[in-house]
Amino acid sequence: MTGSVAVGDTPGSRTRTGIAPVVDWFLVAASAAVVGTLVRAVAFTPVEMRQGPAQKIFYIHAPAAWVAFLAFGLVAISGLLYLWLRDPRLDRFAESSAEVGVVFTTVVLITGPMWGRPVWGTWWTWDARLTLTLFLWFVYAGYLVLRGAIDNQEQRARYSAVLGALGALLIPFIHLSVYLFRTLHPQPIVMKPGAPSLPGEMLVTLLIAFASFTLLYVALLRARYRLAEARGALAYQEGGDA
Amino acid sequence: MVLSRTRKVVMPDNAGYYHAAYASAVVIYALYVASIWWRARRVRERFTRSPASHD
Repeated sequence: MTGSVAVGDTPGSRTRTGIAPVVDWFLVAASAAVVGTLVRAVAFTPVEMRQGPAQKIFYIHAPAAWVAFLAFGLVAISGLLYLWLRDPRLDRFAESSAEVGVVFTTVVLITGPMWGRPVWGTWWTWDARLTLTLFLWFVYAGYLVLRGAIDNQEQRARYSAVLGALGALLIPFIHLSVYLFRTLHPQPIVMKPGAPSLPGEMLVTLLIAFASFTLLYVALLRARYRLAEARGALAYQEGGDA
Repeated sequence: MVLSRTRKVVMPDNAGYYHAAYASAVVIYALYVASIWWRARRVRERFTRSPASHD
């Protein structure tokens, strides 16, 4: 069979037996865009004199943080929309975005200390920005655990929508924490009220990195959403909850 | 002894950190893509084994 599982929750669409491929040309293209960005960052972007080559971690750390915030923000929005509309597609979207967001937050939490060690002299400090980001990771890791612990589809969607929306309240606090508390973490140099305080070549590389990481987020989200759809179709076929 | 007023900035040699960071990020994304592919394969196998798929 070569058909694909259709979007939606109708019995007719769920009894089709084919499953759309989760790894496709779009994911390959997004991955190639990220690799191209890294090549530009490594080979064609100047080295910052005071921090040295370790500053190039910036080109994956900051875009990964942006994508994590985007992913969790969309979890909150789709969760709230689910509570209103009760459309299972919104729940699948939230689940997919949360999982991809946790992956990007993991990258943030691993690359941050690798940048902090040579520049600050320490791998980790329990200041507001770092601690809240770790807390955000735990909240959405807990979100995924919660989903795995509840069998009833409707109940799982409802509980996780509430947790997903509450977890996203951390995002503005994390962004503003460098203004509100004393911290080693630098203040934003692009996403701030004034003009970006970054030399032109570095700024261009950073903006390309933001774009390519966002593309990778969309590609991973698309792949993960297809997996969620396939699971839903299988559960329907087997007569259980997705 | 006369000290120069202009101090030359010596760039630190810490490329190993960014090499490790880039490699870590690539490994994490690759593992995640592999996990999606693996889970989808398992679902596909269960789907084809399911009696209803032969209807």
